[in-house]
Amino acid sequence: MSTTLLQELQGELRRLYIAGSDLAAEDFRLKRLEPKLAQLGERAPVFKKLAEGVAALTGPSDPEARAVRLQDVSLLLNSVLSTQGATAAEAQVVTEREKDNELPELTTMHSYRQLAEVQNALSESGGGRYEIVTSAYEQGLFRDLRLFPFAMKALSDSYSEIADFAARNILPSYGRSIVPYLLSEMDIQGGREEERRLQVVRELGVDPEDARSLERLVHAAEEGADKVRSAAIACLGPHPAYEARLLEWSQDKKKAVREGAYRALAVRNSEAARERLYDAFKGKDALLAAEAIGYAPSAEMIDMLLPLFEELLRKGDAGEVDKKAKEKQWSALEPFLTAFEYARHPELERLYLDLAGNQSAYPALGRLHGGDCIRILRHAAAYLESTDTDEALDVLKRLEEQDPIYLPYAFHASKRRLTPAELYDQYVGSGWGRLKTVVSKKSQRAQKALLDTLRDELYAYQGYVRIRLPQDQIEAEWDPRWLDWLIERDDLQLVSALAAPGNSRLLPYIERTMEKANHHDAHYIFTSLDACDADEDTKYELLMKWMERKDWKRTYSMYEEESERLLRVPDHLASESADRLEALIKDVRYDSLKEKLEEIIHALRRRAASV
Amino acid sequence: MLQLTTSYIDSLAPNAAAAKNGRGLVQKSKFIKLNVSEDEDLLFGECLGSGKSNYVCSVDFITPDNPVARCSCPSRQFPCKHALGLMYAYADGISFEKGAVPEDIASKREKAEKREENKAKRESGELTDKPKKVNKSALKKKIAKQLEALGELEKLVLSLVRGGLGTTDARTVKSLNEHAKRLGSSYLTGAENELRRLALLLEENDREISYTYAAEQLTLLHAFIKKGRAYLLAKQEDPDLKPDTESTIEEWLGHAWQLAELKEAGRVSENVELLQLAFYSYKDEARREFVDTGFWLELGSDRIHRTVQYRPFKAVKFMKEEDSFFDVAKIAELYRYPGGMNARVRFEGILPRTMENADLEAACAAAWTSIPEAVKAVKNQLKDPLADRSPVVLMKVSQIASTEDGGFTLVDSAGNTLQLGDVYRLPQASTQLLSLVDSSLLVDCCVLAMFEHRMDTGRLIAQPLTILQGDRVARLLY
Repeated sequence: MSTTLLQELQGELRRLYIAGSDLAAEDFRLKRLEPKLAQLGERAPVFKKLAEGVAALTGPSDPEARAVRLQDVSLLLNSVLSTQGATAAEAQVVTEREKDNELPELTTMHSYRQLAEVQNALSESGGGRYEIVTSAYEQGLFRDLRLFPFAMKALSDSYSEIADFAARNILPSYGRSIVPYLLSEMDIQGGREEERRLQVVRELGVDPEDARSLERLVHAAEEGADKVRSAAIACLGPHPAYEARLLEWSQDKKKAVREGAYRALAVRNSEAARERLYDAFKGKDALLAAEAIGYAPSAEMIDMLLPLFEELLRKGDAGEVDKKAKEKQWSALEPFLTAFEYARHPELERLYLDLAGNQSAYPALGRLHGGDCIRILRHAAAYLESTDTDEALDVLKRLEEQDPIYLPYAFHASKRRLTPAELYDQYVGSGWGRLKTVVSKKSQRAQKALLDTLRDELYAYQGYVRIRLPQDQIEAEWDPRWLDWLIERDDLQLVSALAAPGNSRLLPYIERTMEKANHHDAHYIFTSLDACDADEDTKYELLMKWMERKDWKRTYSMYEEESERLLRVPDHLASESADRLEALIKDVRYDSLKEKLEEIIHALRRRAASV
Repeated sequence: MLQLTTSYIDSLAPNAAAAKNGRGLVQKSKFIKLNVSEDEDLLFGECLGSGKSNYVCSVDFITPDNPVARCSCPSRQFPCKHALGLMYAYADGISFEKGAVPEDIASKREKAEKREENKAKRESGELTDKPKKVNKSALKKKIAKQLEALGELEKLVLSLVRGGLGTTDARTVKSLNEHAKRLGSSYLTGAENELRRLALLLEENDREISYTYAAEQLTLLHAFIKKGRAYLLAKQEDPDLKPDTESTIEEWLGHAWQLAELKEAGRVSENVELLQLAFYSYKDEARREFVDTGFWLELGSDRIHRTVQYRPFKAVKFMKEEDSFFDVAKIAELYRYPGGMNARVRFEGILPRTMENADLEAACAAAWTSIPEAVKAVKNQLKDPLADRSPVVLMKVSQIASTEDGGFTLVDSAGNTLQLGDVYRLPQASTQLLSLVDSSLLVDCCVLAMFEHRMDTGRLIAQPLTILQGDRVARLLY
């Protein structure tokens, strides 16, 4: 059967459907097909029928009937064509399949409901999508094959937090085998999404055997939009074959291209690469080179830069120190701090020890704005804090004496090296904390710094929320005398952080504090109460007092914690507490709060009845 | 002894959110009473809610394939999160106290038992319902109205054909939609949907592609009008004529089959085991419904059935969203709709059974071994313009091979090839996922594929939905 002829007829009929059947009369292109169809019709009756249909369609008739004819011929033709569809493969079968392309560890075991939620979140716009994507990632849903295309698509999500999350977490978790996919879908003229894509490629690294991916990278590095070029060049660091190109790019006119090249050269870390970075560091690209080195600091590179840094710091008087000179001094020093940000090196440690302990030997510090000088010393202090040696601790303590601003570093380092009692003795027994009354400005700042440092230690961030340390950790790692000291300083938040049984001053303190506490202090009051060794009845009494001293006329809500505590009062007190709460209701002005209280009272009464 | 798996409870949940909330209730220990009956066929308990009183809920497993959830909460979802939570708590191994069946549930059980008895009696012929009286004059009126509406539809279609698709614009689309509404009120809901589908095609941005499908849709409407008119005229002649239970024409006209009608027509299979091979859900704008579709192999046969659940946009909140089903479903009564290769089926309750390797072996044994044979069967269906345009077939192949142009093709043991590609009628692409699949899975395997004839290229293409091999199943859809 002649499928081409049929397909040709189909095309003509489609044309008539678009143009309208009224134009079919005497349509010469259809008429040209008619004899061919009639000829085939001698052998196959279907063609004969089609030929007749075409003849009727183009012949004389009224417009309505012509439309019916078009429909009839088309219906017949469609039925015939449906039995003639070509099915064989359109191109040659590849016998050797590329092995590196598959992701065999991906599964397909999740259900529609699980997947669809994430797929929708990554295909639509609107609120609440970020949480769906992140929780799917935590549940390991992205190990499912069917989410992989959506993870790739997420790079260009209109909500940049999702796109960044995909680039930072989801895509790297697939491992290096996805690099060919990432690069095959790259649009080298693209924007931010392509930068993210290349950021993932850089993190995962390109397999040196994968010639096609490297080719794509180089293509992007040569032809892409500026930002894409920069990001693509930055991926080439680990591949020695491109070193010459990298050196060339590092001299490019465009800043973005040079930036990418520096990043790659820092990873390359060959002698030539270091030389080039060193030159750039000394020239006008100092910050760009410093950032590149900061991302991948090598010991050899630091060896080269350290003498420069030290020389600069030790340089003697250079004339008048005006505002401009101070700024110039800072801009000469700043790149070093950037380059050494994450570096670890024994010589760097030696320099920082000496710098912090022996500042007068480094006159450059004196030629800086006060704030910039502190920035350098804090940098050194942060480095020393993490070295965990006696020598460093000693220097840090001296820094702390010099200015309480360095107290946190010394405190953290001390906490690591001392027993809880020693730590307490150091800060309260002899240090800044010993003063009962703080008079001088400096001692005021020191006490404040100590309290703030304690706060950071005791309420560590978990996500966006500060969480109190677990009770057993508090009792094991903190000297109980801290609690007395904090009670004296009347810092409710910190008292509640260190509250523990065995301190006779705690309960009176809570009782006292309750009298003047604010509505929102409830949490700290109750946490302290939980930890102190009062009996059930006392705790109950305090809870009820807390409720009764509220100004109910002006209260419009209640903390969940408060209502939960009320619902948990001991059985034998349920009835009494219900009575006492009922007495408060008359003052409440807000309906929702009133309902809430009534519910609690109701629940308490029911409990009282069931005992 | 009651066996509950979390995956089974998930499948009972009306939607993912309800399941999540139900789990949350257990985690937050909101259940203050958990009881199980002595026979372990009833779970009941109390759950804290936001109000004064607790919600009293229960799940009754007295008919194990159709658990009944009851709850005093006002939710319109069944089972509600409280009943789901009750089951999750049980499945998690949280201790349930033994207790006597509460009175209200005992009385409900009695009533249900009576209903069952009556049903059994009715079936055995002891009790006979009053024969349904057909209001002949009303039926006549209805048929007359349908015929009249068909006539109007024909006029509309012909005027479109005369004017040509090139002249259509937003006004045409609007008038088509208005006309569709009128068809619906003239008892032609099937035609209503298809006309709205045409309107949607004309609204699409890529006109070149949509013209091809719109022209196809016009011929489809033509075929429907012709066949529908003949059928309705015959019915008008003979009002006692039973509905046609062999062809799909009743459904095209908008008839919704009732299980009793199907049973009467002998379209019921008993004690069937089904294995779901693929599942997907899509938004059908023409029907204004979400459509949850499952393809199931009837174990021990080579038939692949289709389950279809329609969830109107308006009622989405209150209807159960179906989900992928990974167990084998044991079904007491399977109701089969008229239709072609993947005719729709329905059933009332499922008893899950863990899938075993033997089930997958049975599935592979039921697959077509020759591509040309399978294609022939597909084409045979496609030549009927009113048949399902995208049949689904299971084929055994020796290889799923890549082609030089970056595509994929099936190769059977005789070396015949079948080009793979994404089907226009399926809203989700899956062919390119093959490049990610472990290549060991792509040799000597069975492929479930959906076919579609592309009028523009004259090709019959197949989209892979699921791959089976030994004990491995890779679902490319859901």
